[in-house]
Amino acid sequence: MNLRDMALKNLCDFDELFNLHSSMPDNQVIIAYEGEFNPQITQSVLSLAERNLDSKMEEGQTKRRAYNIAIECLQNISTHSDRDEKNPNCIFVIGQRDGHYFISSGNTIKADKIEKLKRKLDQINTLDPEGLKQLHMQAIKESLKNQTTSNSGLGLISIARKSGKKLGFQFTLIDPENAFFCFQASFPKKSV
Amino acid sequence: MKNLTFEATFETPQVVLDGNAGVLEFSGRSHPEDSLIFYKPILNWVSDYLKSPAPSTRIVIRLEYFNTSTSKMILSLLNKFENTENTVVDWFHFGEDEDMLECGKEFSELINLPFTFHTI
Repeated sequence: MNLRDMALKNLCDFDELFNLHSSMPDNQVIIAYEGEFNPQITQSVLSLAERNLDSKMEEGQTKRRAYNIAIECLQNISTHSDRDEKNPNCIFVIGQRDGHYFISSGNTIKADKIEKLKRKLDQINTLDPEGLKQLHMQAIKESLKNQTTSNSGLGLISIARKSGKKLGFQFTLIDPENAFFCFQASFPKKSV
Repeated sequence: MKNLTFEATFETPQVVLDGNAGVLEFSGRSHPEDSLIFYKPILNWVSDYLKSPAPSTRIVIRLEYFNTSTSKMILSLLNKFENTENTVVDWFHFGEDEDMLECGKEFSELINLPFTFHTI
C-alpha cells in the first residue's frame, strides 16, 4: 500500500479522523487547505484566512503581516508550481505556536528548478534587513526597467522582509523529474 | 477627458481617475493574481491624460494591502508622471502599519516626485 492509499484509508476511519482532529489543538491552526488550487480557490482560502485572523482579534499590524505573507505564498503556489495529473495538489497552512505565526506552503516543482530556487532562497537567508532592502530595491528597479512580468524573486524577498526571520524550505524528490517544495515563513506576533 | 472608475472588489481597489480635477485615487486592497490585466486600462488612461494633463495632479494611494505585482504597476504609473510638473503623491497608511509607511518611503526614493505621508 502506498502512502497515499494509507492516508485515504486513515481518513475513512473514525479513530483516525478523531486523531487528526486532536492533532490540531484549538487555536493553533488558523487555516489548512490541501487540494487543487486555482484563482477562485486562492480567493476563498484568503477570505477564510482573513476571517479566522479577524476572529483571533489580532493587532492590526500582525494581521496585516500574516495576510500579506499569505497572499504572496498563495500566488507563489499559483505561479510557480508545476502540477500534473499525477501530482495535482498543493497544501497551504497558517498556524500559530509559541507567540509566532507560521505560514507554510507545499507544491510540486520540476526537479530541474530546484537548484535555481535554492540559490535564491539561500541568498535571501544570508542577508540582514538592510541587505534585503537593497536587494528588494534593486529587483524592483530591474523589473521597472525591463517591464518584465516575471517577479525575479520579488515575492520571496518581500516575504523575507515582512517575516524578519530566515525562510524555511525543503525539497523532497517525488520521482526523478518532480520534487515537492515545502516553504515556511514565520514571524513573531507583536506584543501590544 | 472621460473619467475612469472601478468599484472595489475582494482583490482589486476602488479606482477614481478624474482627468479634469487632476486627481487619481486608489483605495482598498490590490492583490489580483495578474495585476497587469487590472492595471492595463489604468495605465492606458494615464498615457492619454498625460497628453494634456490638468494644471496640477494629485495621486492618492490609500491601500491597505497590495501584492508585489501590484507594487510594480503602481511604480510604473508613478514613473510616467516624473516629467509632469505640479504632480504630488499623497501616501496613506493605517496608524500602526509601519510596513506600508516604509514601502511608501522606498517608493519615494525610487520615483522623482514629492511624496506626502498621511496616517488614516
